[in-house]
Amino acid sequence: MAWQWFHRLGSPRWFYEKTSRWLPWLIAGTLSVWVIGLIWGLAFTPMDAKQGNSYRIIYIHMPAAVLALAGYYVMAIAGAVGLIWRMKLPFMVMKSAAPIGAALTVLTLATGSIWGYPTWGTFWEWDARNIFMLILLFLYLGVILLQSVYPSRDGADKACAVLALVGTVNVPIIYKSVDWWYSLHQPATIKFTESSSIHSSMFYPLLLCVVAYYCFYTLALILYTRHEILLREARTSWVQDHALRS
Amino acid sequence: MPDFKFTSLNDFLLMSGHGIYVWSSVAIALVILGALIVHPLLLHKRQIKQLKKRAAQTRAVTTNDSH
Repeated sequence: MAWQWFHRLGSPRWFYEKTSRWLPWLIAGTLSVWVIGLIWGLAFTPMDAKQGNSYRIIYIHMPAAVLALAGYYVMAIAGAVGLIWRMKLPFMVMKSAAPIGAALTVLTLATGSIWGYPTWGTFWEWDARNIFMLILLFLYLGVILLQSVYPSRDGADKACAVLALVGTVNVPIIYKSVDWWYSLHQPATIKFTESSSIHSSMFYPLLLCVVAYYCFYTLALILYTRHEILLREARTSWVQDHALRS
Repeated sequence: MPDFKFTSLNDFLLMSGHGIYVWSSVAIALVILGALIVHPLLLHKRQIKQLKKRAAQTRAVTTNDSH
């Protein structure tokens, strides 16, 4: 059946058993790509003509921001799938995506602020991108909070999915904010539709870092989701068998 | 092949005065990303332990019942 894969994808047990075999490869892949990308970026790329060596924070900051935004879509889409098809696994993925997204947003804001000091002369500025990034953090925190205050799991999942979906409006605003209200944050240097304004010597290590963060995100999401599966499926016999065997 | 852009290791660490910003960013990234791996693993471990305990308890109850 053509839809069989989709239903299997919704099975927590299938996900748990499948990902057990993926984990070592994911860890090895993430680590090696990140180490190469980061060392290349920090030590083997030329200095930025305007910003000096502080620009090297880009190899930490920009991929974190990319994943903070992409992770929001992951959370919202998982929530939507859970609402529409009433599947268990997507809601677990949605809940797991919230703390990861929040942490990546904090990382983006923290490294951005450190980068801002030598570059803009201030740790914080009420720049449009900064403000909408802060709103993103509050959206993630809102989902985490809603999960913990709702008395029923079903209600919490639905409320979080709705909040996550409403908040998606924020993501394209963050993406376009540097063009719409240009103040301090530099505009994007990597573009999909026209030629990028970043030099290829800086582009390739940055690309590696973005790939590494994507792998990292997948890894963290799988780990949190596996915990959530054991938590929510605790009464099933396969989870109890698994606990006794491990 | 790109070459090392600093004259010495010391130069690499100092980054002409910007080292403190770059290296503190790297440190924060390591802490936050590391936490995102360690935290779910700890939760997972605790949950397995709890499931084992619960299984032991139910086994104890059922053996008591049979007496």
